[in-house]
Amino acid sequence: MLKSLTDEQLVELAVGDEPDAFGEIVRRWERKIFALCFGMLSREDDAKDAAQETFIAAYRNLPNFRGEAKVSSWLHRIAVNQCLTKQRRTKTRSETFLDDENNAEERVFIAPVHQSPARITEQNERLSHVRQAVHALPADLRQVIVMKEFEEMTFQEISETLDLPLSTVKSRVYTALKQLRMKLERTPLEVV
Amino acid sequence: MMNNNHKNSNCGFAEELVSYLYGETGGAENTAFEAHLQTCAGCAEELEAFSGVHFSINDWKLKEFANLATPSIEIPYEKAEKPVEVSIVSGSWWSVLRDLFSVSPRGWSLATASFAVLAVAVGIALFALNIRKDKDVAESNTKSKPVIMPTVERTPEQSNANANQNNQPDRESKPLTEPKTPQPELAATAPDPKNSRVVKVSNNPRPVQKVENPNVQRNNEVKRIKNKNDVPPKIVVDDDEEDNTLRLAELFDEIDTKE
Repeated sequence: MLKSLTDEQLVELAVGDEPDAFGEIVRRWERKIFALCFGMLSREDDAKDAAQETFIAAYRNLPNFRGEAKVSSWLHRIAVNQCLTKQRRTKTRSETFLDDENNAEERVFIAPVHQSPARITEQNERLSHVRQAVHALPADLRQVIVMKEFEEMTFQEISETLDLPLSTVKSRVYTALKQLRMKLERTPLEVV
Repeated sequence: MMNNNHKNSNCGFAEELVSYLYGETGGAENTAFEAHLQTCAGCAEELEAFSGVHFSINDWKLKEFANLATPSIEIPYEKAEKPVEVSIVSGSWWSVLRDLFSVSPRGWSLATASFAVLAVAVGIALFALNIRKDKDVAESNTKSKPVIMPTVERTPEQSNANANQNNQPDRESKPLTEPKTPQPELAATAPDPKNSRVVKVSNNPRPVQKVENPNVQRNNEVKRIKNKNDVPPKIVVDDDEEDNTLRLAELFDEIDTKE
């Protein structure tokens, strides 16, 4: 029954002391919010924490949700704020982050058996550069590129979620791609 | 391979470029942009570079994120409800007071039982105290000197009227008998044993002790005086009152002499 309801109807039920309604909202959006947090923070643990805190903050602020914006926009805004807060905290230990980047092989994907160690190392370095390049983007550009790449949202969906004109969204994605291209070209690594 | 000698896309097809890159152009737009790519080297080169970036990010996503399990989100429903309760409840002084004195049903039954026991005990104590007071009053009346009030001569009509009033079984007449009983002159003027006052009082077992004894005593005394001397009884006054009258008499004498 809850699955057939819209997000806004679920929020109304959740405000009326119906925990299952908020549980349905969580089920609908947890993967996308986790993806957004992962793209914004580039770290699994931080992304998990941010996603958890996003939904807790949303639940606690349910009475303040007036329905002027879409639930997806509301959740994304909370998630981005959580990510930026977490990023500010981790900036104070930026050296630790760089150390982690240097030890990237320990936490990246497990390569197929047929690949040589040199190739695996090269791939890991490449991923590390991409991660750092995305992480170095300004927050507004990073947000749209993550929504586009990780959440696989259309320009129209991003526009509605962020309450921005469609042309602004496309312009931001274009600018983000341009900056990423410049950052990645500085690292002379071949695209595998 | 990335080319560092790329040009900026200043031809005004930036939005179409990203839409084409992510496959979000319609049929006509698609055809139009492909035609533009054949004439614009900058857009063609930029599209190739952006495709590389897109591929890299997608590669990162597939290798580091796609295999990650979605974290189980735990919402502290109970904790979240508390502030709402507190905001409704928000600690008003009345609710705090009510909580402080809130009693369970068992507590209420215990309180009721103890109150009933207490009420019975207080009732018994009051009853005992009342009996004791009555006894004290009766004793004090028997011990005290009889105060003889000035005699009032009554006509037979009045005494008959009194007798009629007292013979009526009116409840209101009962309390009237008690304050009037200590008047010995009534017994003296109406020595008939069928007098309503004496009869009335004797009907009530309680006042018999405290009212009849002094009356009988006083009546006997008055009879004795009448029989002996036929002289009106002297008013017996306490010594202090006698002294005061003497002093007053002296004062009046002094005033007279001065005048």
